[in-house]
Amino acid sequence: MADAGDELRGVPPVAVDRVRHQRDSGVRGSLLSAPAAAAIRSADLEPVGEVFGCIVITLGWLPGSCGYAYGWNRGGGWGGWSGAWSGGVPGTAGGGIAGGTTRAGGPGLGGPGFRMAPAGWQGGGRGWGGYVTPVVVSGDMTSSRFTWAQPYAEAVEHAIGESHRRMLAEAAALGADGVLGITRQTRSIDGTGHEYSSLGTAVRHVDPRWRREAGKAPWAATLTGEDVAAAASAGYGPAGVAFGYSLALKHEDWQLRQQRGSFSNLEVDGLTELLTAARADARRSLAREARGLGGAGEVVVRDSSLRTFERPCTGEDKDLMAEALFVGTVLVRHPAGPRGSGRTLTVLPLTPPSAPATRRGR
Amino acid sequence: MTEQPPQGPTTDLSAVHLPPDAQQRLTRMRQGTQLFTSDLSVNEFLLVREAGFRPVGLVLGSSVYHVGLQMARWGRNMEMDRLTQAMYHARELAMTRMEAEAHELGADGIVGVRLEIDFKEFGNDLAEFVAVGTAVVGDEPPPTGGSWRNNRGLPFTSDLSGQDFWTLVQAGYAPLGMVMGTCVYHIAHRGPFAALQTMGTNVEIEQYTEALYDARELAMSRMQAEAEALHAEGIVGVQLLSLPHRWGGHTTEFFAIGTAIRPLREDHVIATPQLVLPLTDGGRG
Repeated sequence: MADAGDELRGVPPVAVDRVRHQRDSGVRGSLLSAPAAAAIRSADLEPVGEVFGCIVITLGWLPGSCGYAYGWNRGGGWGGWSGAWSGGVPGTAGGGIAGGTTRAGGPGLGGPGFRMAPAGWQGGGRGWGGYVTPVVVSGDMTSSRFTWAQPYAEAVEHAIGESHRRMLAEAAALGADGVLGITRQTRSIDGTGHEYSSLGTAVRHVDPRWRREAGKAPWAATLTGEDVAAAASAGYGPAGVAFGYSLALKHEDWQLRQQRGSFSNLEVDGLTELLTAARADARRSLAREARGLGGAGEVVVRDSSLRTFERPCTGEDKDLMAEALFVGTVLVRHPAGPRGSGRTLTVLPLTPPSAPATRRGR
Repeated sequence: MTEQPPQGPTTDLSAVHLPPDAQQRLTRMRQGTQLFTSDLSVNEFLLVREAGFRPVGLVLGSSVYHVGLQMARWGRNMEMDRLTQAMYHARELAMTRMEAEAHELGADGIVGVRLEIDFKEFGNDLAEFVAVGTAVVGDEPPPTGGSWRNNRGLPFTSDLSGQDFWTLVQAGYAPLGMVMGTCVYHIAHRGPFAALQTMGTNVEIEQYTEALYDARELAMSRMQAEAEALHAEGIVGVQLLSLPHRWGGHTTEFFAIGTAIRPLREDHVIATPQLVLPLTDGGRG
């Protein structure tokens, strides 16, 4: 086993002490329930100890603003763009993301990235009109007007990855092969510090053939012990946890305000676009990370969250933000092959239907 | 009121505009790097595989919708048809986009669909409607011949869990599509005189009973009509929900949703399950 001090680079001294002690004492902790502990034993795994990783960071924004407030989003006398109020949702005949998402800027108007509001939105006769501000995702921020948000997005992404890495470092120092049942928590301390933590149970393969090679990181799984065992029985093993994070921003533009203030039913194009962009970007980086973990990996089981918030921009104007996070466990074919028979046994549990068969309670 | 809410999704999914991001991602998935994403649990994934389907990717459709304003008559039972339309149209937008993503992947169907409404911090009358599911491709065409897709040429959709899906296919049924019906109903307020008359007595308030019946009937018959349009044999896993949302005590959405199914073969037998008494606590699946 490599020296613990080496693997625990970046982990606070107090945690290093605990891990060393844990390793030497031979007492093995675990966060598993009794059934989970029994289940992983059937998959030839044994617990090594519970591991934890945490980072507290401050989150802030650079000074600055997107500048879209100045002139870009006001209704104004842009002749030639008036038309009758259509009342309908453009482009929704086929349920599409409403028209205009790919439309280029109007003739001679706006800088790169600007689009005109779709023609259907132009108000009647008096030159209502306005620009549709673009949605920018964290990957493209450098070249956008939202560079002030980039450090925030990077910090959050770093914190999510770092708490995970610190947890894995503890597991590596314990000589574990993997970590399962990982749960993540985020909380705010006094509103200034934000804690990102990961907690899991480090496990080891009983069969020495499947032990981790020195220098390689342990595998990780957000799956429960039971799930890891089920996957193992079908010939899959976890390769790691992939994260996909994205922050998408949009200045609240004329079109958005118009659609929100309306009395009729309509889709709010800008917000749909904002949330879709955040999720799409997060899923893209999840897939990228998953591919890195699993090569031609096979499965990503995942859970996802989306948070929206707004931040004052200039004057009365606001910048709207959506933050999406997708977390998935990459499963790859285990060289050992399936352990179980591969056939499902249909059983009828004699318990009350408190755990619904459908996914409704999920 | 017998008027039907807007018609179901159009058949031509290739006409649905997907954001360029989504298109790129889906193209990459289709080009067969084996990696796929899904939000099925491990057990569900394994069961779906065993049922003869291969997950090809997570599909998602979303729509942020501004629900319009409608004034109700204070003392009248009535359907708020504008709100009904909004709730239906927004869900349909989300579903159609999800189906379009599945279509891009060449999927035969979508399993484990969740249809959620999330009121955002952005404003009271704004809600995000999201449909998420896992697109699957059948290893083989159905035994009856034809395709797994439904009579509209759309990938089938189902909100059943992997377990339920497996059982359904084992028993010789296939899902056709999720069907839904909705009705936003305003239940009349009672005037002070009427309230005084029944004070201290135990009587049925017919006005309320009638309103609740009406609203549920409307929602359920609309769902029924959708299933009939799919030539379904029946609907399984129906949920009849009353969702108060944010319209105050007297205006409620009644929402019926289920999975329409068709038979795959004549006989519908399933192996007798064994009874087990799990030694885990009841809460664990």
